[in-house]
Amino acid sequence: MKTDDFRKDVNTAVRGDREAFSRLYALVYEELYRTAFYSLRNEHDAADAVSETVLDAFNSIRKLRSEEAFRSWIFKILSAKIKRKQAEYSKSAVDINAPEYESILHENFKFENQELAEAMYRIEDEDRLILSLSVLSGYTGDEIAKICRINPSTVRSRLMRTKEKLKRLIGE
Amino acid sequence: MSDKIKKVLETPEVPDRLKPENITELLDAVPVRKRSRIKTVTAWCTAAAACLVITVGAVKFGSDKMISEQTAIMSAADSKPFGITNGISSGVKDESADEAVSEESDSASADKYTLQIPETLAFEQLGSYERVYEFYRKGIRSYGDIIGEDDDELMINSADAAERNESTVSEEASDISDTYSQAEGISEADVIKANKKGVYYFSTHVYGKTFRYVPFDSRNGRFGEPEETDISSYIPDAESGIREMYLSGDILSVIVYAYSGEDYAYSTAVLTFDVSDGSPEFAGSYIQSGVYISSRMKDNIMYLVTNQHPDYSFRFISDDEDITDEKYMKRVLPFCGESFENSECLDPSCILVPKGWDDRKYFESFVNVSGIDVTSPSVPVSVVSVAGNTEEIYCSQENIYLTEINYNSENEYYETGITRFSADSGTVSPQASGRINGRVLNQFSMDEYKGHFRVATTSFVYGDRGSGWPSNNVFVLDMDMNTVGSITGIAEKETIKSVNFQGDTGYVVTYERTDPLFAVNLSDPENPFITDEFKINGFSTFMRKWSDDLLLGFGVDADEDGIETGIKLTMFDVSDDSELNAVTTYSMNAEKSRRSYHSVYSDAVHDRKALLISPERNIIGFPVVEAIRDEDNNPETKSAYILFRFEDGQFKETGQIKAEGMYPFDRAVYIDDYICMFGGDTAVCAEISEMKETDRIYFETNDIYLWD
Repeated sequence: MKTDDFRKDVNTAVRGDREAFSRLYALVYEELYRTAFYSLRNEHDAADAVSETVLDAFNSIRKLRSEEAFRSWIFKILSAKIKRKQAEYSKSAVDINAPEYESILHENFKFENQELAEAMYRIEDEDRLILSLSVLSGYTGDEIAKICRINPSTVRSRLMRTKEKLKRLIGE
Repeated sequence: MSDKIKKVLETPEVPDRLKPENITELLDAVPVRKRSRIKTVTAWCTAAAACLVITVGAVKFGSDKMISEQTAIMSAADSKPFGITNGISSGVKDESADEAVSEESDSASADKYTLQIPETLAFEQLGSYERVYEFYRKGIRSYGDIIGEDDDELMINSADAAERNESTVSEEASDISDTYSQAEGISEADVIKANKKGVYYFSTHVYGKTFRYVPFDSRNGRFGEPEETDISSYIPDAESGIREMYLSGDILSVIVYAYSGEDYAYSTAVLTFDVSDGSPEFAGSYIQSGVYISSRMKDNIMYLVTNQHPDYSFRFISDDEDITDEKYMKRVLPFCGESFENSECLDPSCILVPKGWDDRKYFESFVNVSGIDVTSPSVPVSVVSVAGNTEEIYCSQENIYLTEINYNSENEYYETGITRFSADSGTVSPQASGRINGRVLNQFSMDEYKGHFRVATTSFVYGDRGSGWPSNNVFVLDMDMNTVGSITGIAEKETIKSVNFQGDTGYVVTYERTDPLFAVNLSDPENPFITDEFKINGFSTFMRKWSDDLLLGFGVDADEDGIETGIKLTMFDVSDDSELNAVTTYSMNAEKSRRSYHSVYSDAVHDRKALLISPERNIIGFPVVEAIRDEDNNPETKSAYILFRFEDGQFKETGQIKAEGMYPFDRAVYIDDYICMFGGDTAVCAEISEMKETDRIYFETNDIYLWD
């Protein structure tokens, strides 16, 4: 989408236009869903998180300050949704070895990626979110810091550590 | 690697109902909210400000008197633009604060605890919550506030502190390592602390809720029965995890992340434990809004820096939310106190924002800086909340420097904003701010010496047709944060990897393919100059003075093409800054062959707190992880702790201890003749001179480890 079109859509969406909002959403929906899926490790919760994000975003888009901020803004909303859900999980300890996770892994990932996918499922909640924002959406450390509300240097070092960890977990 | 990760991440198919073409249905299902929340805020603020109730009380949450007390603060603030702070502290402390205090008694204390801001400061104070909201609406960043306490309180605290210091001195001498601190007498936090009774530890590999006290007998190098302390019970109704800790005298102060999921309240708690008998007894607590950034401790005063991001909450709070409700206010305003329940928003008169904020377009965050006496933590000595962000902090004897990375959209450069706070016995107050080109790597890039602040940065230089490359600088600033001298354009196309300031000299390591060590002469603050440059393969990520003539570098080894191959120790000869040299180096490298894979890595490369260095004891220790995959593709990870000494101009390995538990070693301390190494579920003690193991224990834990 051209920059001008994008701005126009943001401005139209701010006034409550659903079509314009959908066009903007089309730019990010795959990343939103996959970030949520990977962070929450569960398709239903991921879908819920994304639809809640969509509603929140649409309801509050009139408060968006600048067109350029759309992408990071909607990810910020998503990241808050994810964190809420993750907080709920930690109360009811999620067992990665449970059969439901095995089936998620088997159903969703091809054999050659399973080892890595499993390793990626085993890293800490917030690190998974950081990793997906970085690799999937190409955000920089500073942008991730703003989205997740953590120290940028922490983001950078944790990202580095996560990657090191993955390398070791899959023995590469 | 990133490509593979990406492939995994891109695997799941987006369900149909979330496809863009179907999303309008979802939107149709829910009515769009019409009412503007912002108007509501304004209306409420105006109404509250119109009320004149001349009493001073704290904004005490959970009290049905909230609104009138709220109003009281605002009207008091109106009459005195500089912060009245008595109400907040006393409100936390005792019940009597719920009662109105006469205006006179307030003005008396207001005289004492006014936050004096130099006119030259680039920040101004906001006198009311209404103005804070106005500031938010402009979409800006914001700053803070000071809370005082009464005279009696201060005197009691200092008496306490003196007593404790005495008792510390009278204890039998024992040579125990502490986290390496950049400035003498200013302690830094870590995940491990030790005293003569034992070791307090939790793993860096986990954001857990428990820390361990492992008793230790320094006569025979044996551990006692470990005790586990679960911190979550001290922070009810929140998700929590330990970040770091301090040990000062008999007080163990544990810094904890606390997230109350219900109301997006990210905050940082300090839990204190009396450890005079070794095992921790809960003593007190403090909580402050914002995510933990960093801290320092001088004597019994902890300086705590958190970063609060109210924008999300401010924008997306739903319309049915009551904005006079404690939950709403705590989501969008800085607060502090003894606990979530028993905490209060900072006095609005003290909230600072940059001058000229009408023009700003970005909504940023608050940096909350407090001084807490850990002998009585529930009431801070002071709290300042300043608009902005911060990454790295530096603390000298009298000042705290906060850095903020800013993107200057006019010239497309990254700049570092630096704000100097004076810090005196817990009272923090912003004094001056300035700006320099480039970004600061970490705390060691900064230093205060003889009335000047020196800082090294990596900036970006633009060439023709959009090309660009990094470049490096050293700036010298006066105490008003004006640049008085600088060297720019050091080692173009390289970036700073570590910095070490020693008096009149600054040592800077930059890196692209080789590691030039630069010596910068700073004896004339206005005319710094490079005296020498020395090149060596690899780069140091941390440097520490070993002796007057020697500088120890720890970091990454690399080959001539800049391919990182392992870990490297370098002893630089800095006896003559115009003739830098390396006395010796020691490398631990991966052996790579086509049929097997082998890598060597140490947490200490990116986390200098994992290093145990003592020139006095001639100790250089760090954890190492080796990953090996043999010809049959069987992976194996080995973790060890390695101890070196520097002898006859060489690094010599004293010995190494294998972790053998589930998790690698991450920290070690020495206690007299023993070194105690910790790794998640394992503690091993060895006698230092030969690294001969004397004891080994394994813990059980419910924490979920990142290494599982």
